[in-house]
Amino acid sequence: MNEQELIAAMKIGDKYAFDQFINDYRDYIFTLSMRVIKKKELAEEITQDVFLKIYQNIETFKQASKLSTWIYSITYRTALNYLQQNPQQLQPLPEPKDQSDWTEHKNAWKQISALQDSQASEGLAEHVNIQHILWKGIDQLPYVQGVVITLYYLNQMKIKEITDVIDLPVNTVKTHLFRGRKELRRILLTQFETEDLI
Amino acid sequence: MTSHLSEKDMVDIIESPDLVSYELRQHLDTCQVCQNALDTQQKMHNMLYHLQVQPSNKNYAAILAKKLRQIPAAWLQDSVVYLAIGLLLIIGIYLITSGQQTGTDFWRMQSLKTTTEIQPNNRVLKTIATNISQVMHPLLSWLDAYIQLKLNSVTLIVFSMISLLFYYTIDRLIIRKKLELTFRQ
Repeated sequence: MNEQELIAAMKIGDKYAFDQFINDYRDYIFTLSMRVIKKKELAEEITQDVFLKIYQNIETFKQASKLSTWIYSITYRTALNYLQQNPQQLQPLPEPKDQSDWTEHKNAWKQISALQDSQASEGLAEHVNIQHILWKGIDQLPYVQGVVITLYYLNQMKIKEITDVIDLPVNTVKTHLFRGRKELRRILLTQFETEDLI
Repeated sequence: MTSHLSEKDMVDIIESPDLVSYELRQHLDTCQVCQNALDTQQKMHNMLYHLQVQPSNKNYAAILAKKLRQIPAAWLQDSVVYLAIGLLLIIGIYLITSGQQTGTDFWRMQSLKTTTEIQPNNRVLKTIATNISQVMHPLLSWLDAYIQLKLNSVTLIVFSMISLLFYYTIDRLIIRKKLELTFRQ
């Protein structure tokens, strides 16, 4: 079922279509919610709320934009609304003083670093630990930078599409992307003290 | 070009390396600072390129079904419902405050008022006034019919609104039920 068929089926209340829709998007919505909320249980709740909103408003989706843009826009706004209602969540996470949080990843990092440049790319893709490392680092970024990086890399969105989701000008999104990558590199360098890969 | 590449330039170069302007390329070839900055950005880009989704709770369907059951009055949040209730209230208030007075009632009262207020010895004037009222009385029955028609329209609107509200409520309840069944599976 392609995207247009999926939307049409959801609009007439096809339960299998909505089931497929949830399976397709739940991890992506959860991952994006995590960037804003940064707490797993709360991000799960936001994900539920997003699906409820989508279900209740799918009839109003006019396909002027891509379905994913509409979904992530709802996700971002829902998570932001939650933050506005619970401002204590806005406090940035402190960098862990206890380095044991990162220790478990240090061996994996060494293994990946030992790979030759040509192998490194493939090695990274296959390495489960690198995902934990990256998400852990991204979670220490300001939430807007985390959201931009997530939308750009995970969801493969263009800069213009990201501006539609988070409602910021193109140049601001580019700045967040640049600074997010730079800050993430700084965080990883602090933890792993190696420049082999980054 | 003497100034270094901006953050925006770096993002553009990484996103579309083939579209780099001649000026930027020339600067990059000669500026070690910009080369280093671009190089670190490119490395992070390569690493992030492999970013994968974070898995969410697998019991998601059950949780959502539970959540749906916890919001029995969610449909009440819809503005359409508030609009319908508001219109019903306005119409109700109109019906109550407008009373039962019709055009005929009004002119009958005017007739009585005229005949009592005019001096009894001025018979001619009294007769004329009474006759005018009596002539107006049947004419105004047309107005009565119009008012009656208006009241019928109001009844029709009220009935339509109640039907719409009923349909909307049932529709929402059915959708919710369907969704609950879907996620219980």
